[in-house]
Amino acid sequence: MSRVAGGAKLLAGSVVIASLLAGCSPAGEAEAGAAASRFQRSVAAADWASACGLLSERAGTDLESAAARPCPAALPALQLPTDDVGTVEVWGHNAKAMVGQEAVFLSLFSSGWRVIAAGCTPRGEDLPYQCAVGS
Amino acid sequence: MKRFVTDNGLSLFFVVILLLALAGQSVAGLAQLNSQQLADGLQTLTYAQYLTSSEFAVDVAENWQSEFLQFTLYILATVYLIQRGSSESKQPGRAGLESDEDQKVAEHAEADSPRWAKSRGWRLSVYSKSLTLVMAAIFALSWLAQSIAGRAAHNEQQLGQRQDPVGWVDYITSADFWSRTLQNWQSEFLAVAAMAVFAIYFRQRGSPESKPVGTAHASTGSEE
Repeated sequence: MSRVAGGAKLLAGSVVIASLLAGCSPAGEAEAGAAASRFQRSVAAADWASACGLLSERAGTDLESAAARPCPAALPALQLPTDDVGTVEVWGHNAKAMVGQEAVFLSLFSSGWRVIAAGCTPRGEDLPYQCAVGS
Repeated sequence: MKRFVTDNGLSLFFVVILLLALAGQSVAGLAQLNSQQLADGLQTLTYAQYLTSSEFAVDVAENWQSEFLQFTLYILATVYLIQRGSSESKQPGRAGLESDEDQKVAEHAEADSPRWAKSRGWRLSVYSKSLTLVMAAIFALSWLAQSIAGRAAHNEQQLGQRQDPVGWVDYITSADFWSRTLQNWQSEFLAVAAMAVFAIYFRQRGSPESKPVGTAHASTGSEE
């Protein structure tokens, strides 16, 4: 093995180890961002059944319990933002996507990325966001 | 093979129980994490996912760094500090780096002394501190790994709780980082202090970590 090849392998190995330690994954950002975009397109198109299908099971059932009606009937009243997805940040199996001034939180399930909270506005440093869905 | 095992029994024993403990930690850690994931309505992790997760990495690294810090400090502190009556201490009056003759270096080296111990200059200087340097380097790398993996695990948890992730600098000044760090440090320092003092009064027949059973409490250091 040449010294250059050895150095490249060492560098590649270090990057892999650092990525594992840091839980970073560019593929994760693309996939989480795509899921957030699907959710935003569904909301913008008032396709509430599709939007509900992109919620996590817990987020959907919590919404239905709070609104006392099915998810597709409960979502319109929340007036979720219809902006395109901006920056996406992924850590491990969780992600946050900015949509305008609000945030959508997602988590990775066996069925793919699902929205665990939407319509989230910051409440100040060190405090959880206030979310319309999935608080 | 049998000879190898006999000659290296101490190292092999601890490597084996290290692996067993790591395996146990990974199983218990996965169960604990998955219990929390279920409570939060999130996906549970497979064993393979957990082994490559930042949660497992930070739990391992935070303990490793403290162990290597413990030995680094113990090696350095026992050069300069004395504990009268302890088998873990040098005898009073011998504090410091000691003479070249005592340390068998340079012209006082013996035929089978390590090559760098026979030289002068940077090789002797480095080799004279090599045990501390290796321990300190592993401590520093483990602590760095703890900070990187800890930030990742903390940020994953933050997002799960609808909170913003933090940068590395913010993380290493955070309560999570220092809580993980100091809870390990205090237990290591307690163990070392206890060993230094207990070795004055208590004995384990046959162990080089103990004075011979009949040796006086006032006797300091291993008997020549």
